[in-house]
Amino acid sequence: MKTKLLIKLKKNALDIVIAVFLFFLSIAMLYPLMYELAVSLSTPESLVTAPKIMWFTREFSTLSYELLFKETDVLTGYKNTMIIMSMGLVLNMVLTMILAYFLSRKSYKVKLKKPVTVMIIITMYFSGGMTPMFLLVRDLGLFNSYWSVILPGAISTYNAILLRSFYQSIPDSLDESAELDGAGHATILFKIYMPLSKPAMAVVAMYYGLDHWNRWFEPSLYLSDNQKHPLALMLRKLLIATDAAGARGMLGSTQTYVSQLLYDEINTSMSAALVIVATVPFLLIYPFLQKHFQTGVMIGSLKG
Amino acid sequence: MSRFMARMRANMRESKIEHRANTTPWKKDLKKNWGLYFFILPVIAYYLIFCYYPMYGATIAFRDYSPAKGILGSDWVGLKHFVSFFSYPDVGRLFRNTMIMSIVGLVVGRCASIALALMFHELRWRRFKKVAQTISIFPHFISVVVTCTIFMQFCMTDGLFNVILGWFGAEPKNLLGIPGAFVPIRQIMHLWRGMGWNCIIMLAAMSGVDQQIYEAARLDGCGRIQQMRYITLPAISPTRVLTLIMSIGTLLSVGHEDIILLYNPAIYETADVISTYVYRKGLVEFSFSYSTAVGLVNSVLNIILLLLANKTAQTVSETSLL
Amino acid sequence: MRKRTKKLLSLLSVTALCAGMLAGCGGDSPQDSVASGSSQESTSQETGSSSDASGSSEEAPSAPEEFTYPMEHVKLTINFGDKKEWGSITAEEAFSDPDKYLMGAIGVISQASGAYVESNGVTWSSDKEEFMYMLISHDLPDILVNGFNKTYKGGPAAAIDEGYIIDLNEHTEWMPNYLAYLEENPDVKSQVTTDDGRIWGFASIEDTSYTMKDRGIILRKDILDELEMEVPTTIDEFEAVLRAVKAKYPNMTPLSSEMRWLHQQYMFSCISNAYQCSYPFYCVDGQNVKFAMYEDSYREFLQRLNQWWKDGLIDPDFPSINKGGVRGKLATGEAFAGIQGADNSATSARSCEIEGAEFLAIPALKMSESDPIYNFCLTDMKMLNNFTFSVSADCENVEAAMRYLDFCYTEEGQTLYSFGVEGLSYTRDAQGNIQLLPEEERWKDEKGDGLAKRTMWAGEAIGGMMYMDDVQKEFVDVYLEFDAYAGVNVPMNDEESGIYGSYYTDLDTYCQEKLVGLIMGTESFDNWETIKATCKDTYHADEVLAVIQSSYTRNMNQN
Repeated sequence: MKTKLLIKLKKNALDIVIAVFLFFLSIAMLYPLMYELAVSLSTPESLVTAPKIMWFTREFSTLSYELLFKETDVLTGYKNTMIIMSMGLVLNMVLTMILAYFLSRKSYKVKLKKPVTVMIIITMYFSGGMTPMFLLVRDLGLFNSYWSVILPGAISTYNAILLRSFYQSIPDSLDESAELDGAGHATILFKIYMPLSKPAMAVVAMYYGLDHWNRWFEPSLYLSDNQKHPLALMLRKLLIATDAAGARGMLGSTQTYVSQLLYDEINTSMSAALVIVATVPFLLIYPFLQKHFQTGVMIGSLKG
Repeated sequence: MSRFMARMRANMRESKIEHRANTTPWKKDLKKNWGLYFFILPVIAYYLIFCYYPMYGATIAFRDYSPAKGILGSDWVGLKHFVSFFSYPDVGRLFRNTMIMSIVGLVVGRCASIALALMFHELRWRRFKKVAQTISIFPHFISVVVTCTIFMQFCMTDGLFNVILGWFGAEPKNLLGIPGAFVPIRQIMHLWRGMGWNCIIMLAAMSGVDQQIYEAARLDGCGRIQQMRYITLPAISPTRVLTLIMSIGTLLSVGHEDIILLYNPAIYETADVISTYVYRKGLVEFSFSYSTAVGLVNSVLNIILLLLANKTAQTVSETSLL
Repeated sequence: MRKRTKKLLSLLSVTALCAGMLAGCGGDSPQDSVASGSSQESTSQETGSSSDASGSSEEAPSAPEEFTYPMEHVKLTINFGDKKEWGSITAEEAFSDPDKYLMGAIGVISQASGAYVESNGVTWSSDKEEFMYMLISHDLPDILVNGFNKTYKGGPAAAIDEGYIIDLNEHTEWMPNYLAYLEENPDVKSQVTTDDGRIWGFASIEDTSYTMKDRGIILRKDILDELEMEVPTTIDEFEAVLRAVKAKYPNMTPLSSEMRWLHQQYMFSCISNAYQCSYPFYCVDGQNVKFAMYEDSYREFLQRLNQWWKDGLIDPDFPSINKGGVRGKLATGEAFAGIQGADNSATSARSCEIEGAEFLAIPALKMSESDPIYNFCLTDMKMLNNFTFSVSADCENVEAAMRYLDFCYTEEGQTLYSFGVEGLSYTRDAQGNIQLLPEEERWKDEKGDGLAKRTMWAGEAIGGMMYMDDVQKEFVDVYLEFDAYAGVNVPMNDEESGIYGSYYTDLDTYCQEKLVGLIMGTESFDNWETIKATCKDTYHADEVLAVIQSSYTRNMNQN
């Protein structure tokens, strides 16, 4: 009996060690979100004397959420983020896949590969800055439309190169045989590469997705209409309003709810509430993406 | 094991062929690949319109930019802004700190995310793994401003870090007042924020490994640690090398947002970097031209580093950006 | 063959998809931009037509005295951030529903002047990209709020020459009240007039008596009583109290503060007042501007702080603690005294749950009882706010914009802005003095927006004190007691600000690093002379001092 247990323990030793380590790591990783949750659900008054480490709410209150939904257009922000993200992601993924596919060609077969690679890498380092970009966006007539924040960042060179490295690991024999069958580049890319590189696609999609989710600078320049502002920009405005310098001038209308002395605390807990509200959908989608890069692919089986 | 090694060798051969020069005449190449070239036309168009066309804006580094006169109409001042940047007496310190911070970040950050990815990959308890992996990305969703606030509280004399250090008999001190502690503290914060998120790409690379190879290795009597060492790690090496090259190409770009929140004059010695300096400079005199000039210096140095890294990677590991 | 066609087709379809996307956005967006453009146009048309309809605008110039407020409903635009900063009702709502119209200070001023102003969402901070791009794209609101005098290359004169704002002197007939105000306040006039005599904007003046000088020492009176000590007025007494606290309560932090308040003048100098100096620049004799790092008195002050630091009288967290931290430490009883803003002290006092805790503000410390207390932040000049209201060159109804802004300098406008509407937010006593109604009795709309002191506005903000929390007011009253001005913060001309801009950041970085090092003992006082020499030789301290001296002398002589 004892030996059996010992064998079992020995067999799982690695798992146990890893699990224990990950357990403690998870506690540490859980903290910031719990902290934000706790802050968002506390009364502003109780935040003044809040302890250094805070896992749970001090004095329970939903004031920050009430203020958030009453005072700011969270729902409009949601809608905008969703629109930008869905349109943006489709464009991002299609263009990135095409680029990655091209970059994964062999340079001895495709002469243009090297010049194109150099061309795109240069753009990672040199840009004209915001001013010409602004003028371009305006001249293209994109100003104040959702496209102004989608198009300029349509391809991230970094992501394309990442995806390329996954495409490169797909055996040549696969597309060679596909080509013999008469398949075009589009067919090869979307029928063979796409299913085989699901984990990488999921990661790249997440990278792009989070980028859209967090982007506030471009919207602040290109979207002058408040009703088109995404969530991230709203959060940004809340966060910078906590700055000491801004606070005095910007005694907004929320002041009348609670004493204006608690301006900072109200702002803190409102932005915490916004973080929670903005993060939850992402975390709900996550498991669906997660399964793609947690299960291995069977290239061999597809080949056969 | 043997089958696996054979495969790896075959891969290497392939990548050697990759670097063979292409001597096909352009005309013939165009004829052969016109379909492919047509296919990437929208991508090329994107780069030309949104990346190359606006590049004329970089010339403001050599001008005294004024919005009314426009970019091409502003006065040409040559190297004035570059001279002004390099004549800052502590410019050496800025470069040193920037390099230290990014090299530490590169080494520690990569090791941590690869190690974490290996752990997630190895753990066989699926449900626990799933939950732990999800939790590990949480901190990435919290804005830097909040993370820094939390961290500043940890660094206080009665904060978490001092409690932990106290177990080892250390005197409580404000950790953000000690120059030597800043780089580790910032690094811990970055690990905390980014480790889970950054390991995802490695995780994806690992899950891309053909399961048959593992089976073969098991049949050959490979233990789990050996599998890790001889299969998983080499299999993700293209991704590893690639991300390494790309991060070497950004060694001189250390963002200012977190540092501005965490640092103070007591630790400028180790915490002041190029971007924070430009930020402070901009508070007094808002100058597009000046920051563009510094950005240009950064870009040139970064691209030199990138080319060096790429060359090294080409000779050492057969993987390359180009 | 068929396979080939298929291949071609699929390829085409993908390309078409991408092309379609690109084209799609190209197709959509012009419409958008047209839409936004046309709304802009319609705005100006509306304003144009309404002023036509009122008729007064065309005839008014010839007979200015006939002009009376309110104007016929005019709509104007302004750049004053989003609706949280500005206000949320639209012109249509405002003109149709007089009750809604009452919202916020803008509301009442709009109602009384007859011009409704909507913000275009762009901030007024001229150092923000948003603002710059508004200039670049030349998509200007009617009223351009700006900081051209602070951060713009060439200053307001350049902004007029470059066609962003107009010279108000061309239409003096539309701003009689403002001109009268400027006559009474030559120091303001000099700031809104360019060197060649053009008036570039409507000044906005904060209630300066409290905005810069509302910070100081706050301490726990109950503990002081427990120790049976007097309220300290000199630095020695204060030190004795701190030492007594340290002795009796070893776990308590005697003095907590954010790092910057301890040595910076612009915010605070309640301790260095004892040495009659303050970092970085000050002027106690009304003549000679001094640079703290050149003065021995400042070194002595630092030595004192260094001693306090060594003896554990200063919060060990002082390098990184923020205002929330100081406020919290006082509220939880972890700290005995603190240096912070009166509003933060009031927060500490209000959220403190310790039985019998009592907070007391004390004036800046002196060396001996007879010494004066200096205000190191201010001169006796009225200073412009960071934002000034100019009329943009794109404004189609200049009269309406100017009349609207001018209204803020009438007594009626001033009262409406600062106090709201009589009976709704304030009453007058027998002598005609304004008495604010208690907060809960003041009029509010359904969103909780009150009538007054909600946004910043052109004109002079008065009565800020009246809106303060009682506790805060009590503290501010203490900090406001000073004997003389010693500040040097005055407007600079282009040349001066050019020199200041190129040298000051580096000098300040160096000094702050050394200051903190000296206080915390990581830098030795033996190096004082070397530090002084480095300031002078490497960091151009002399040049910076010279431009501050020249701007100070010029401005002081003007008055």
